[in-house]
Amino acid sequence: MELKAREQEAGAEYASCASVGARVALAIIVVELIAYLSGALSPYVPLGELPRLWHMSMSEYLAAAHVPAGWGWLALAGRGDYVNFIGIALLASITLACYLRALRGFLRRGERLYAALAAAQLAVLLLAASGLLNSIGGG
Amino acid sequence: MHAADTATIAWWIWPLALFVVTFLLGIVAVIAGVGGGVLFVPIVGSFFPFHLDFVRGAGVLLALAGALAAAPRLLRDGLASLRLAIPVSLAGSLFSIVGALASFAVPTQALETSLGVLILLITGLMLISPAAHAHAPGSDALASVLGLHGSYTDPASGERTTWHAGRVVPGLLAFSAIGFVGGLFGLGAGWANVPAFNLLMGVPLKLAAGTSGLVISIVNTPAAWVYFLKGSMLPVIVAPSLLGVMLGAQAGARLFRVMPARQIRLAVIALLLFAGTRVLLKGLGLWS
Repeated sequence: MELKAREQEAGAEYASCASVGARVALAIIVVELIAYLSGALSPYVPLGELPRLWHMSMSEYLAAAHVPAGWGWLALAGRGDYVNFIGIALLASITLACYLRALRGFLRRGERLYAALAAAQLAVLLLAASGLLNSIGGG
Repeated sequence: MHAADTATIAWWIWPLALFVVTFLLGIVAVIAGVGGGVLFVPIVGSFFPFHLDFVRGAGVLLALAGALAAAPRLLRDGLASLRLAIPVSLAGSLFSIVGALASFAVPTQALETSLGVLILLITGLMLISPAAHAHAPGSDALASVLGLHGSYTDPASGERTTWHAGRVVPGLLAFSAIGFVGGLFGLGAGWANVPAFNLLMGVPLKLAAGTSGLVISIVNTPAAWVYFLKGSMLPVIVAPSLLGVMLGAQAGARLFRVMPARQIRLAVIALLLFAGTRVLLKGLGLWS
């Protein structure tokens, strides 16, 4: 397959993944925001408490509101504020999903160099999403 | 703004104000050709009561969402190159993680001061950028191995342009630095990506601008995960801002033809000048 055709195929695969992912994630974020601000789901940190907390630094806020860092939010995902994190996590996972698809395409077309670069990018994304870096850099 | 001044204001005023401001930012960002994140962080960081940690967390996600929304169309139109984006994004991603992690070790005032300086530099870059032109780089063995060449047809003019990227190693170094800065301040980095592609690597401006959006969506992802898992995303800030910027960008795309782009761009430059000065003075403790 010619370089131009390979580029178009890879671009189209990535585009369809990003397009679907972004729409789904944003639709979920809108629904979650309505559930949160309307009070349909009760928040873990009461909305009225927020003006006392949001001027604090992240570490002060986590301590004052007794909020877990890392993947600890999953235990609170049924609460109005933390249900929003599902949409945010989904939004941040789209690139990962699209790279997985791109990697499959590169391997199928025998583009080993780009398959290796895509695999390396996936490793970087997975490292960031793992929470293993949470203890680095303070906060 | 002091906490005591804002604690008396009903909580719901702030997400509502945030939605209105980000909707307007979404409109002007499209018309002025700048990313929403670069406007969001200094403006919301200066004029809202939220700590910069949460503003940066929202900013990185806003830049990611905006770039993700635009990337599919650009890729389908051939105005963004995945082949060009992949190597530079890998370098940028690694350093965006370093930048995001480093940001939590830096005192807030130092971060505000350096953000103010950066925003003023970006304002300067925006003032001079219309005069910038690409210089065709020499042959580059690494660019040949990576296949960094091709052609695209501009849908507006119907003109077909062939391109060859070069200076790949300096390009990778530039995108590493840009990734670090983007991660550190929670910004998208279109203001730096486009000159790096265009002026350094010799990529035509249209392809540089399109691929820059794709690069932002990739490079900001690991930084977004760091901010998210560290705990610096508040739903009450993130969700209305995302909604405002996305709806504003759609309105901006419709208004694009009728709004005076030059005047809007000048207004954005003035706004950035003011917000950059405000953040700088806040960081220096001269305007709290």
